[in-house]
Amino acid sequence: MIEPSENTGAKQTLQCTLNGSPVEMDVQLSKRLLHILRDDLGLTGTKRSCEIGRCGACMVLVDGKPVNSCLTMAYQCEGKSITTIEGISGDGIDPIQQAFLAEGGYQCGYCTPGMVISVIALLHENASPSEDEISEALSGNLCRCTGYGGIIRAVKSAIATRKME
Amino acid sequence: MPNTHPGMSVMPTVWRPQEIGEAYRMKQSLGETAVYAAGGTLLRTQWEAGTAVLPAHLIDLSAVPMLAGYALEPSELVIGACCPLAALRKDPLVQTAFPLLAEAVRNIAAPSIRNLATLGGNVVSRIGDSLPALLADEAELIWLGKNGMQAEPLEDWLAASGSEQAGRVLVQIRVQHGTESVNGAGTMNDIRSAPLLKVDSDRSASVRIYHKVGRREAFTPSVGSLAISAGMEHAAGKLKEVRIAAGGGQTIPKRLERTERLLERHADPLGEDCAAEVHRSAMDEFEPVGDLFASRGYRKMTVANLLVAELWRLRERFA
Ligand SMILES: Cc1cc2nc3c(=O)[nH]c(=O)nc-3n(C[C@H](O)[C@H](O)[C@H](O)COP(=O)(O)OP(=O)(O)OC[C@H]3O[C@@H](n4cnc5c(N)ncnc54)[C@H](O)[C@@H]3O)c2cc1C
Ligand code: FES
Ligand code: FES
Repeated sequence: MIEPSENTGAKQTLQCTLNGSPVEMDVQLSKRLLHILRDDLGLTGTKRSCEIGRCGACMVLVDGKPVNSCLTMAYQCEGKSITTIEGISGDGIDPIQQAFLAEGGYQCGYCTPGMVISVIALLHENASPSEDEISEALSGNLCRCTGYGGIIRAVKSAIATRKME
Repeated sequence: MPNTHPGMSVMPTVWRPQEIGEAYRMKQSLGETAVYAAGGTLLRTQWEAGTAVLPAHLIDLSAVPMLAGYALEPSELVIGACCPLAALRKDPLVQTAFPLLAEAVRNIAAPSIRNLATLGGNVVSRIGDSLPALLADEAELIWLGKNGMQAEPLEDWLAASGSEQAGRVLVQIRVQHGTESVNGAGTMNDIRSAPLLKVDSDRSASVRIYHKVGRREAFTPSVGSLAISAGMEHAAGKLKEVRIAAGGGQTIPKRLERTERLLERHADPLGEDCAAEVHRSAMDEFEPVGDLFASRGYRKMTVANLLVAELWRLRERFA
């Protein structure tokens, strides 16, 4: 029998891995991952924009798969491994980020962390994606500045660099 | 600002049953104050839009083993209600054997949403874009309710009012294989938005067509979505076992049965005369719901045009 009055809205312990380190924290289990990352943990590389899953600025990896952190609730992270933009390259710069820099894959940069996360997930799953596959993988990431040309160039350049390595 | 339940904490309490019976009993015990959550993507959309209140309790179904994953069995595809759409989108066997479902799923939202969103959540919404495909494939739903497990054709459930037997858990979605074998000879032509055509022999082909029309691909409720399943005797130029289902926006999808019969009985179903009759029939039979984005008449016209356009493509392929 459930005793709902016991813990309505109360905080519970969430255990997961964040950017490679184990984390244990007391949160309300229905709190959104986006707010936990930015407001509780100060990881502001994950951007807040539409908050309804439509723009992709808040993209993170959960067990290697891209998800919108504005749609993901704390309990959906229990036992999972979360990677944010801060965690993709340690102190250095990831070759995919480098490709965005080199190819003019950003202007204001607000969409860039989300874009980079989506590209990492794509290339992890498929080292030689077709044009259609790139478009599908980035279909949930909006950019209001670049017109996407530089972004697609950056993705193609990252693919080419990886092949040479 | 999210809508909140009057008098309750802003944040719902999350319950995580490990077994299906436990989930059902929780819902019975918590009643109206609780909602089931699968991927939570539609719930979030509704809470943020203010079309549903943030409940006091969320019953998360994602840890219930019986609802997870999918299995390709000899005669059918059995999909757990909490199977993420991404899993179905990516499986080459699903793409080959169930092209309507695979194509419908490809047209739902973006990959990151599909990692969270489930087929069960899409079905229970009653307006999900998977529904026309599942209707044309004559899918069956398995529920857990007060009388235990029950099977119900998707079509019957969609036609019922929706308030019946509240609190049931959707357990599985089952789709039978067509008459052709999964690995049967033939080529699959899955060009984007072209008919998914499987040529079984010189004399017959199975046609599977799914087409969604939206203002911005995959991000707003579709203007119209259409699924067609049929067998084709191309020597005789006849269509058989025609199933057509249409939806779009807030419309609960439905089979267009009179139009199906018309195509089956017509001596020249891909001919020009038939195209005009099919258009009239679909305009007459499809009853979409209009909204601020697209009127009822516009949605009707879209689906009727799509249907005729796809028949025309078939004609070009086989003429
Ligand atoms: C950005 C964005 C784009 C979208 N685009 C599309 C689109 O193109 N096409 C489309 O069809 N949808 C779209 N959606 C809506 C939604 O993502 C899908 O319908 C999705 O499949 C819902 O699944 P879910 O697991 O997230 O459902 P949830 O939100 O968890 O649940 C949806 C409803 O079903 C109930 N429910 C869930 N599982 C069960 C169960 N097993 N038994 C009983 N009740 C259950 C819940 O209580 C709730 O009422 C979009 C959503 C977003 C955020
Ligand atoms: S903030 Fe999450 S998708 Fe826009
Ligand atoms: S660079 Fe400004 S939104 Fe993409």
